[in-house]
Amino acid sequence: MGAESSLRDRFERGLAAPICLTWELTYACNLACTHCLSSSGRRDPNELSTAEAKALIDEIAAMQIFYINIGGGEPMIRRDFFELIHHAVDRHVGVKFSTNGTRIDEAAARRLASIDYLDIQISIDGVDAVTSDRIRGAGSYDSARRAMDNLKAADLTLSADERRRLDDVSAMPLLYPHWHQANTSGDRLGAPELTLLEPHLGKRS
Amino acid sequence: MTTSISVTFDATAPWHLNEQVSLRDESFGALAYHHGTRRLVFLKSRELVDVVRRVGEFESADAAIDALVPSDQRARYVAALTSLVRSEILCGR
Repeated sequence: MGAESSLRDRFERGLAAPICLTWELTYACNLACTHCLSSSGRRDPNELSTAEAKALIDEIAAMQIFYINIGGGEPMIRRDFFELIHHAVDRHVGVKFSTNGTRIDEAAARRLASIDYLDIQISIDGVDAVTSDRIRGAGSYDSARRAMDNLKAADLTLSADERRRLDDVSAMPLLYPHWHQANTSGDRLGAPELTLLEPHLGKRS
Repeated sequence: MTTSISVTFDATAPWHLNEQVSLRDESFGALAYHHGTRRLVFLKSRELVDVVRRVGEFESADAAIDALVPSDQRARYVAALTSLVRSEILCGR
């Protein structure tokens, strides 16, 4: 096992492949959040077909990229969403995806909960409908909460990181007083996992 | 997984690379990504990577180390394998 200095030298040549890739699977979206980074809404006519997306996943697997972060748009709008997720996970490419939760009904929740190597992020922009819907649109908060409830009912395993993440949240009481209150008084949201993202003060271009 | 499993490394026992781990060769050795714990582990020499890949072929970790590692480096490899057992990169048969 080599000395520290030679290890550093070898690191300078970089990695054989990325550790993970971020993939905006579609720009189609059923919401129109004010801060959307990709100004999503309409499907891009040049969006990858199922066959093309699978071929890309094969390439990702061949490169031994460990996992992909799938976003959009709303990725669950694609009819081949589950087909693609399985194609990745079956090839030992882990999947993390973000969703607005509108498509996670009870059946979809059970299906998601049965897949290993899958992390789901359901986006909300506040801890109540008044705050969140102002950014994400009427009814979006309730849809997201229903998705969380469905996943919880489907027994989605809690992540080992949950505790630490809740601690992170409680360290930001000034920025997020509601989060602080919700989570220091117990997991009131009942979300399978809670991750706090940096606030983006952006808007649609 | 919410439980932390305390595993001790018995070098006289058989061990193998966890099926939930993707091992990718790198110029410095390899990266091991555990799909279950979502943790990334650095293997910082090619010799260690060789032991990790092949330890499952031997009846014990001791036998793998004897066959693959110069005897004066045995202690370092035992320490490295202990750490890999703790992070669940290696598991018992």
